[in-house]
Amino acid sequence: MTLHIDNLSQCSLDELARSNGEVSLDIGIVAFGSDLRSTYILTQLRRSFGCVVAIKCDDDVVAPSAILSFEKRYSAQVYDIDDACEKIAEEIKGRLAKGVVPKIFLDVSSLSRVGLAKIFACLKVVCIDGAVWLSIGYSLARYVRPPDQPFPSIRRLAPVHREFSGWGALPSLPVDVIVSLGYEKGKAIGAVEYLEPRNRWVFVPNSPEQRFLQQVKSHNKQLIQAGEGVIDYEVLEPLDTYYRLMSLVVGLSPTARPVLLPFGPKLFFAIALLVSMRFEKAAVWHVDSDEDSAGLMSSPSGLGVVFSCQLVERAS
Amino acid sequence: MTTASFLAAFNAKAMSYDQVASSFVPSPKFREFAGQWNSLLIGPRGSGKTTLLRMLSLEGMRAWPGDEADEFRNALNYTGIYVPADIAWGEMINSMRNERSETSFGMLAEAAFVTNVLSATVAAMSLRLQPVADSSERQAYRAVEAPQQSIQELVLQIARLWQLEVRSATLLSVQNALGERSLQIAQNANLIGRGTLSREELINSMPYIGLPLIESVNQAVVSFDRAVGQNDGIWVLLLDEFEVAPPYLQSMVLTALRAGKTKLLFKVALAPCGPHTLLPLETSTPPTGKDDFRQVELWYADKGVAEGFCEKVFLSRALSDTHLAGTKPEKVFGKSAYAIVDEEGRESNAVPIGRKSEQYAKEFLALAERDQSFADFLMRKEIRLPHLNVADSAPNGTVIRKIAPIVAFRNAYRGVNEGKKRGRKAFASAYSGWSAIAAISEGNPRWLIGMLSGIFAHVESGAKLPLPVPVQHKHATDTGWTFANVLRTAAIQQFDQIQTSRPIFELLTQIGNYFFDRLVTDEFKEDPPLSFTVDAKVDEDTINCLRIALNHGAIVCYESADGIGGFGNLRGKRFRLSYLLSPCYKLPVRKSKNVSLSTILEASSALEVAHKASVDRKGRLKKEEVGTVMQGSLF
Repeated sequence: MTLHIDNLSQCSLDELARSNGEVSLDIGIVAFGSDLRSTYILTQLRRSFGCVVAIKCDDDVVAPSAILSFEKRYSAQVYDIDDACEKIAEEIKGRLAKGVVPKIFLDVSSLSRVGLAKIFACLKVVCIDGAVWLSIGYSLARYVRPPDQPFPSIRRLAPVHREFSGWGALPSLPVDVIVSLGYEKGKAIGAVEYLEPRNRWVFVPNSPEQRFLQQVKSHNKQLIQAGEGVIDYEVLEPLDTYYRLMSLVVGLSPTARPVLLPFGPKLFFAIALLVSMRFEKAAVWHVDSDEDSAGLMSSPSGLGVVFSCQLVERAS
Repeated sequence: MTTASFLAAFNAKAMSYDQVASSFVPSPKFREFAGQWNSLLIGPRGSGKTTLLRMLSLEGMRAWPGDEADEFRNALNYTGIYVPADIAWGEMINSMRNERSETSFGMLAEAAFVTNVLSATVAAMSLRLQPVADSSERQAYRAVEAPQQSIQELVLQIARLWQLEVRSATLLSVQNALGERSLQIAQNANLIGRGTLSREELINSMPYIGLPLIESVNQAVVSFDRAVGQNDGIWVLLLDEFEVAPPYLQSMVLTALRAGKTKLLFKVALAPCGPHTLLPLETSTPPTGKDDFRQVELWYADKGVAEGFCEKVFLSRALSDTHLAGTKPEKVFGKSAYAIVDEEGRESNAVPIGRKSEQYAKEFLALAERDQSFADFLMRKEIRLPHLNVADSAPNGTVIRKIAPIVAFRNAYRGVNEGKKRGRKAFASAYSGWSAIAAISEGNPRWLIGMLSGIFAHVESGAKLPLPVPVQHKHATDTGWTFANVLRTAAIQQFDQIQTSRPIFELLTQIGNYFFDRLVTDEFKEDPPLSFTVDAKVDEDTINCLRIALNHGAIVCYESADGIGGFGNLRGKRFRLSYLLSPCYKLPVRKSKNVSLSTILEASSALEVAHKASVDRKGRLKKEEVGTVMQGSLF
């Protein structure tokens, strides 16, 4: 049996907000936080949810009153990531047991990369029991200049989760890195060279916030120059990005071990996890100091997109 | 462009055997490593470990053309089995780790590694039995024939030994069964991680768990040799990046190195400060005599040896360049303006003495005018300007030659007002000339080829040689900065066991800036420190940071490794920054006296508050850009 990702579609946040959505969703998953961006899509969607799971970052020290206030305001329940995954699995299994195809909405904008990997790993396991609808929401941040002060070092570069470690790829094949760029100077090149790849495929994000692109290009000059293939992609066109990434991974895999380094927009990170779910030889790596500064990107630009698909296990 | 060529430069892992072999240059270290004995190969990233291992494999030997290759093929009477591994694969196995099932993880990791070794072994056997289409001696190297019946018996014997279910009595079937095993290990790792498979169920479903690595390979090659009628055959496991293997296997193989000459030998590539250096081995001392295993270190304390190897690499790469084929490197790069003093105090072939005197006098005069401490030094030494005699026989000839690079650096970077630093004008001649280029490469093939590829791109038909100093300077500096950028984002945790809280690049920069200050800002010294000793005051966190720097090749030890496969203890040892970083920190490529690391760190802390500036390519590194840039939550 293999996991398939079917019925892909996308819709801009504007379109969704304009539509008089009668569709109810079973589970909403968002980041817990006081910033506007973490709940921006939730408030724009105007859908009813069976339950809303809000995920609290492990490092956050939060007053209980703030949690209660958030829960009340958004009819949500706040969990740590591991408890959240259990809750999500329980809710999905409950619906599957009743013969219902669960509809999940996941806002990736403000969630941590490790948190996202855990949620996708959870979905990968539960959809063995039945098909799941997944809608991935993404709210584009308003531009903020990269910070000037020194940043913490990379602690470790490694697969983000056991389920996305690229099993099945043979060590006799060379590594090909597929990196999507962020706007921090020199960071991506260090991560890429650590893996000593045969080829470097570089995804360069473009979005209506043009200043991001300028920073991305100026801070990753060396890598863009050295990349075997430089692929420009639109952050708010996830469907196109998914197909391009999937086709690159499938194309490379007979002669290489594809390793994805999805820096930059969280939506690309989520797409990379989907690709790895479908194609297990593709590993998704992360830099563990990039549990970044959600605070930096806390204001929504007002633009966003929802990318939907069905996860289903069936014979290849 | 230089950066692109540096990044893409020579990665043996990603190349075919033909590609690696076509430009392969056997160094004296390769000869020492290649012999029919157990040996360890220790070196930082990019130092050529994979190339040497692959060249000793059956595929490498068959791909290697030329007379020198014939000599090796005639001398080496073993079948090399190249066992690939790398960080990506090691981390993939490591990701199976699960707090709930540490023991199961250990078993799965070992099974995965053993399966990889068995797979490489059967691949080498298949290659030996493959009919040779090309009747050349090279292609037929170690080719054998055996009756079909013997091969079938061999396959059944291997299947029994390795607990495989084969679908037909062919080696291909063995290979396929190992592929299936690899997938089963992956699936079970996921089930264990998800908590849906117990340890007992795991053991029951994988009867091959615990298959002993050495004995499994040994028995199989004995069977093979019996089948082909060569009972005295020798086989060598060529284990690449062995530091990523499970610790138990590392310990077992490193212990087996002392077993002497057996049917199955080991040649193992390791990082100088991998987890193996922290393992409690029965005996951890480095080899002691001729009958012991050999330990080959891929760094060059003696620049003379490195330069010879670099020249061979240059000539080999130049062969494929229509404009440079057959041209000596010194013709392309010229002589270095300043002597590159090696660790034995020998000088490289710098500019001729006559020109030196003139050039030195100009520099000495300029500095003496604005640096009182230098003028005092000249007075003390009774060196009278403008007449300098640099000949050996002259009273101060040696001193003048020795201080000339220091004078040039102070002139280039010291401000007009005493004690102040002058700015950012590049001191181009310090990093040009063949001796300088070879020294900056540290004899590291990837770095050298990276620099050469960029420089070759500038050579056009009829170009005037030697190449202009600014061109050479630019490529040396660009290569140094690309390396610096890689170090800037180097992870502060390696192989689980080696962790530090100190950013690697920050420590290197503290050291580099300290040397620069002693060289340029402080009172003139004949021999300012350019190396450091790790003293007792240095804490373990900093030592782990140095371990990671050593694995990257960012620092070079003056001494040999003190344990099997690397450095168990860094305290008391002397290091310098890699010469590839010299253009970034504006330091000369030379040996000099040492200072304790704790002195550097204390001075650096004191200066921390005072120093405020920013880094750019033209200026020396400044403090606040030393830290790495965090990957932010973008967009």
